[in-house]
Amino acid sequence: MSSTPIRRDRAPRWHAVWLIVLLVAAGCTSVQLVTSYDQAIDEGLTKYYQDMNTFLSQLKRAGKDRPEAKFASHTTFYDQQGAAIDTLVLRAEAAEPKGTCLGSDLVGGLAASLLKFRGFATGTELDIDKIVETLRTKGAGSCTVQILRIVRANHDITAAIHQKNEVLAPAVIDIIRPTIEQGVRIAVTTELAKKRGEK
Amino acid sequence: MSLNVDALFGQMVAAGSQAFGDGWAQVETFAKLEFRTLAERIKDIGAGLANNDFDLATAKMLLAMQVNLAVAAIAGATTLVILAVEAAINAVLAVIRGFVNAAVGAVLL
Repeated sequence: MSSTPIRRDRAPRWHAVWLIVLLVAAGCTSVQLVTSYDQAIDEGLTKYYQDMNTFLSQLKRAGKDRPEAKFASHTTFYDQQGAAIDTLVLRAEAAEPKGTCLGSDLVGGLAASLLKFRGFATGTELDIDKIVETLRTKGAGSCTVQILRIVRANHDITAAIHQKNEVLAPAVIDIIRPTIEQGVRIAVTTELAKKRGEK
Repeated sequence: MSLNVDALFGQMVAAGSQAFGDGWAQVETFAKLEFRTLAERIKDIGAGLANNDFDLATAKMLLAMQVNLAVAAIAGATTLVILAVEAAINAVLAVIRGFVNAAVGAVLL
């Protein structure tokens, strides 16, 4: 007796069909693969961006010779803002304690492709392999957690640059401001996408 | 640290479209916006260093922030793909639910 083998390129479709059959058999009328929209994360990030934007404008206006431009005058601000982001990370972790981000091979492929950009980062002390591996590691958190951690990491780097140079030069602020904005935008975009998906 | 923004952006997009496969359509607009912004800013860091606007150590830290954002963009795009998959599965389940309930004449599912 001969049988017709399932072609490899059709296998994923059959997997999807079987998944749906199993879900129906189990009485599932809907599935949720991503955590729900969290208003506190949305609003917390918006507040963080507003505070940082104001802060950077004040620093730029102050000029490098004024005491209020010095890092030492702003350690409390950096600490408070960092703690506020930590709270958002905590919420995201609590919502999906065992979450991972790059779970599928499809998406994991992009992480591998990212390594090709290594040449553009030559001269840095970054370990891109480690960064990507962290994204894939179980226990590192959901995509939301990892995005929020990156917002936190960039906040810390901003403080480190400020501390190292004592003041933030206008040219540095012109790069840091849109960098922080982009991190917040990525995080808020994904939160709002969750909200749209729940309608 | 001079680089070609279009070349960097092109490589990011090529890598993204290849890795996301069929899912690329769902994240293309989002990913292209984020990748283009990143590429432009990396160029600005190189220009700032060349102009002595800041030193090499500062440039490295600014660049580290951009690499972090590249990872965040991938994580964000991943979320959008998963949400699209979730919506597709739920749409099929809704059709099945309607079909079964209509056939049985009661709310079975």
